[in-house]
Amino acid sequence: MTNIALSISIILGTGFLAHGYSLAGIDIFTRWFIALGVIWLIAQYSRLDWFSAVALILVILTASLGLWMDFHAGWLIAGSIFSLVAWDLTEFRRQLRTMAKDGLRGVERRHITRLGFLALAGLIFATLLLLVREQFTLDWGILLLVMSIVSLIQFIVGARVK
Amino acid sequence: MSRIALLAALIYFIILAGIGSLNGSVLELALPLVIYLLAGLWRGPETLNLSAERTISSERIKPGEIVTVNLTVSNHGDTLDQVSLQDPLPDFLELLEGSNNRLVRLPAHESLSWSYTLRGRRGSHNFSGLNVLAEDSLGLVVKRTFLPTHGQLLVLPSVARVRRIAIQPRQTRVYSGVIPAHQGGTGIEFFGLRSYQIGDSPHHINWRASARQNGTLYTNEYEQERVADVGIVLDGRSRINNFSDRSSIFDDAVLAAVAVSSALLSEGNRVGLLIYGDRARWTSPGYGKRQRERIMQNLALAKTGESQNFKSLFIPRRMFPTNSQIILISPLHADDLPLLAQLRVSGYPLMVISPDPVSFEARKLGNRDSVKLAARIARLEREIMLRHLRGLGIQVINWDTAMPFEQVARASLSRPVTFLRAIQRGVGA
Repeated sequence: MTNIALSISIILGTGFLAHGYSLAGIDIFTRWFIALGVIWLIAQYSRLDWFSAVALILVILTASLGLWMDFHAGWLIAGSIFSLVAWDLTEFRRQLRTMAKDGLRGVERRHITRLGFLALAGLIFATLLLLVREQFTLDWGILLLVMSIVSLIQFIVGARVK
Repeated sequence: MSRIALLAALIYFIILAGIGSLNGSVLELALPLVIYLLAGLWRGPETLNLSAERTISSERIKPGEIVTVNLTVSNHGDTLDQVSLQDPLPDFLELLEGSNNRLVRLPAHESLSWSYTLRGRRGSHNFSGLNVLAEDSLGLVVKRTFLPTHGQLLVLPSVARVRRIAIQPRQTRVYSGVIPAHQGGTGIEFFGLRSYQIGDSPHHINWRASARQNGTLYTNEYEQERVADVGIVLDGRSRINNFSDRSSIFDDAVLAAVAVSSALLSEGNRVGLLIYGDRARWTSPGYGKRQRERIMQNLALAKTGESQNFKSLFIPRRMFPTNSQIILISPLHADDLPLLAQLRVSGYPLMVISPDPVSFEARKLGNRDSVKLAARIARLEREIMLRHLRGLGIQVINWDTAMPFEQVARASLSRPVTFLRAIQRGVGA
């Protein structure tokens, strides 16, 4: 479960950042972000856990640069949020490796649910920013809707298990 | 760098970049990170009020036997979102089922029980407690503690059954045993004749000798059999026991020490043990099952090591009574010869059981021609050394560890060395 969530958050983190830069027309950065995402995924499958911290720093630096240059704030913030989630899950996965499998599913589920809610909170904050700046678009709305549904499903599943 | 420090550094960087560039939109990036940080700090563990209990299915096991460890951790305080419980294990114990580490959520005033099974090689481990690491659900705030538990596991050395070790010390003790005492008295083996004395059993009168002497009766005397003092010295110097591929012949030496000490104690002898590796570990001489237990426990703990004090072989003579039998169990090194010669000259009957390091290492190095040649040269050097020792009157048993020790003991240790030499002479003729 954690591995899947980690892969998805890496893809979303670097993907949103690449999309934010591509909207600004800087394709060279877009390609670099895609490459970063691929390397990050490979590093995770190779269990190079330290790479997540490096990748998070790179994403935050480039997102700051993008915001400074007045690119689409929503995608840059979303990229940072999912990179943060990926960094967190890397550490969590490292911890899980040495542990007994019994009862781990509950711990994993709770952790991922909390991260999902945090990501949703971050996206809601980004939506407010977009609304203030009048940059709210349909694709952003779809993202917010998908994320809300995912978080709701996690919440319901968690409540049923309890 | 800790996670919380990295996160804080990133937030500071964003704030400084926002202020430095006079661009408020950069500051917006800090808010998701701040939310994440606050969420971690909000649910962080405050105090840990835990206790742990441990039960072990058996505290003394043989190598390869399975033991089950049950652990119960109780939380007497608030709910802990994420607790990592680690029960450290030493290298000589192998985990078979379950896990010694758990990552769980511990609700308030609830307990968690789990178990795991172990198998081990020779050694002793004190299960002193659990390392506990409690975190918030995001792993930002960490609290560590140590939960003490009781429990000890002793994995005894393997036991090779040896019926008899024939030794011939110069001096015996007063109690009856099985070692010929070179004195006439009650026993089994014929020792000599003496004049009949009132009270002698008529069954012991030697009628044939008495018939030759007019009017004088002679009585058969038998050799007394008594117990003796035996000192076993186990050589644990790492430079002669351990090899470059991390293999060690020391476990074989320990097995020989167990077999020899058990056999000698079962015959009623007084046995002491000296193990030296990183330091000298002395088991003072004693008799019987209790002494066997003490020796087994010390052999379970025996490790190789390299003390500066024992660069060469060291046998403290004051620990062994004069004329007592000394049995050295060592792979041997050429530098040890002078000390062994000195001991022999001082009057100690000396037996050396030497696990053969050349055959042991050659088996691991494969069947290449270069290995064969090197092994042949090393074997020749070793044979010269062993011959030199035999020339000094030391009984030497060169044990190829591929053979079971019982077999070697039956062939070389079950009868006195003089008997074995006579047999060999007979075969040679």
